[in-house]
Amino acid sequence: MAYTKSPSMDTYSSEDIDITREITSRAGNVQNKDEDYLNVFMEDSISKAAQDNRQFIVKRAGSNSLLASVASGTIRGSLYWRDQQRLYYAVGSNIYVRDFGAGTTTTLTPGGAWTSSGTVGFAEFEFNNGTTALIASDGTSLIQISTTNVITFCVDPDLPSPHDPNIIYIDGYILLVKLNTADIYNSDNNLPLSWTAGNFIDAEMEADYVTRILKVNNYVVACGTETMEYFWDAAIATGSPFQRNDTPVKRITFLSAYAQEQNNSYFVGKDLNGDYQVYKLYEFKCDPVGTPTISRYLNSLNTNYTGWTGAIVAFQGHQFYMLNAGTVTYCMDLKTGLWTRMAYKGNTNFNIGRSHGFGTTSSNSSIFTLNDGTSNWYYFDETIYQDSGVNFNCVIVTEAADFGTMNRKNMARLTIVGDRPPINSNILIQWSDDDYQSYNAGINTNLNQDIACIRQLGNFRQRCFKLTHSDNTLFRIQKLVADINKGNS
Amino acid sequence: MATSGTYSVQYSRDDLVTAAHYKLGVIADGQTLNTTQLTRGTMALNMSLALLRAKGMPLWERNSYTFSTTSTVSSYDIGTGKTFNTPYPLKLLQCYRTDTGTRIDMDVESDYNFNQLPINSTGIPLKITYQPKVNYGTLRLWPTPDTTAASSTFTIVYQQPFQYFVNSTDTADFPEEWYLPLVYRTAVVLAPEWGIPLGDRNMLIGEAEKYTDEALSMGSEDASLFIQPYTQQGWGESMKG
Repeated sequence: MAYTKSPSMDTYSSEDIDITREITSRAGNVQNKDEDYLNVFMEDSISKAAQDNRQFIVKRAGSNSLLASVASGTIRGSLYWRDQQRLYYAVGSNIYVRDFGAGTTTTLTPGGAWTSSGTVGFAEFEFNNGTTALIASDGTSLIQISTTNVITFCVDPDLPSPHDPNIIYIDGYILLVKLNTADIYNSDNNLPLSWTAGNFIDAEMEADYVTRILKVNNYVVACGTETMEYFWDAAIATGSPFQRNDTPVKRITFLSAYAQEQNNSYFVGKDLNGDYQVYKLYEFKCDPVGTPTISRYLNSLNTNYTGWTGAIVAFQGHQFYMLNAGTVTYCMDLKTGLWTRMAYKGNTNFNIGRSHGFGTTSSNSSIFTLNDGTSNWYYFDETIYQDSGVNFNCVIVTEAADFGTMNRKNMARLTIVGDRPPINSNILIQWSDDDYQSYNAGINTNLNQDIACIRQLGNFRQRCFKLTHSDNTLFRIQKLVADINKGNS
Repeated sequence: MATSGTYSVQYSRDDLVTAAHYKLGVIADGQTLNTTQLTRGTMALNMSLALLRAKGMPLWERNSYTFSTTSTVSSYDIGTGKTFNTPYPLKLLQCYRTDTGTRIDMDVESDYNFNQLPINSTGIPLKITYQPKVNYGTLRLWPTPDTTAASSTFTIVYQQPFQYFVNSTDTADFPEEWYLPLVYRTAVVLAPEWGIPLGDRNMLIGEAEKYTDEALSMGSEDASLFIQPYTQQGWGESMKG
């Protein structure tokens, strides 16, 4: 290359703006600052064989109505009985049974001491003769529901009462926790409605009460107000057949927002230092899987954590843990561990109540309810990008980009590298040059064109972009490319 | 297809300032300048406009002013609020005296030559000189007018200053071929404030000069230019010794 006494520096360049980050908020009570992702998730396309390491931001699937509301009031508890292709859900003093095979809905009214409010827990039960039934608890009563929907009350005076309604089944036993004790009771084997006064085991490694029991692999985890202890079925002949496994005890408090995926349990808890955290309980481990952003948000709520809900949902080849607390619903992709936000229709959050993996011989999806005072059931529908006919926004807010210098820069063009939809579909591009304090009105550009871009983006030092897409079509984006001219001051 | 039939287009101060920012690429599509940016842009526009006084003799700013003299008074201030209350001349181009319907050309002298004329002479003025000052100027006549000069009127032809932009809707005191030079020259002034890279600033300066030169080419009269010996008593004679 020839020598020149007048070297020049080209100030023009095309710069990639990485949008595949994670939701971040600098303070718990400060929303809408820093990176934000609403109604989208990240998808890796990592294939070592193909040397493909692309990453995408993908708009979530829409949802549609599955079952109309049968009664006003929040759904107290539910279970999808896969063997029977039936959905059982408790509303008020009734239990509704939707038989997807027969296409019918049956209303069961337990009557008696069955309450009309509060949580209802369900568990499938298999008898040693191969028959099955459902066991349900409202915290004071325990009932058995046969496959022909015949209800039988537990009248055994040794049934612990009151107890936590979140019962579990293991090895022919129904297990439950008597409230305000550390006692884990088990039913008589093969007799879910038969209880013996002395058949319990204490979670007494620490002197805290047990508030809930979970099932992890073949273990029962007793969640206390300060600790978590592991128990397993040791087939002890007298009293409780269970025995504690001392080693994996955790100094973590289970609080709320529980959801289970395979052998993994997700919930909001806190350690002894008192910071809210999202945990994943699996095998003998309990790892925090939240982020400081989520902890800060939960810390800022100052609301009763018992109202926070968790749910596992699946769509578009991904599984998610959704945490709904306060006015925000955070959502973690179980594969990538990355958090985004979700919102139903035009709401600020996705107020999910309960969810189940729903499967028949011809369909498979996640179904869910909302904590909206109705007993509607919905399902995620990958063929639409609306919630029950209403468009929803998916929003991506990037970090503030300075392109390596705080000097002023001009931006001549911003190009969206993403999928071209089959229909005309606009995306609104806004930006903020004052650290997310204000956004301009923005410019729309049609994604269905040769190059989806906007021009004349003016001057800035640091700039963050907000992309909003709301049409009923798939939106998948890889990155932004900015054509800039770097200034000298 | 039909032409518009429109021969005039007027852009306001804010239009021009905004256009200058667009040339710099510093505002986005649909963005409006904020108050501070408009204020600073107006300052740049007026500064670049003021500098254009040094460029040529714009025909559209040629003006005339007719006055009468006061006996024994040879010096008159001219400018807004002065003895001759009119926008002050930047350059004096011509002066003639009118005596009962007859126009008599007067010599416009440089300050140097004017100062060589005899003092204490009175009569009907034959020569005039002009000293521009800050926001006004001074006309001096020779000889000093006497009472007989009162029956004459004196008309000066001069270049008046460009009008500055004050209000947002003010239009330019320039013909329309000057829009581009005004916009680009304003952009040149603003460029350092926005940190425009040096290479782009150089390009911008080149474009501004190009458009200015092209606009200036419209600034001459379509009349013949005559060059002839200077025949009157004056600087040429004095040089002979």
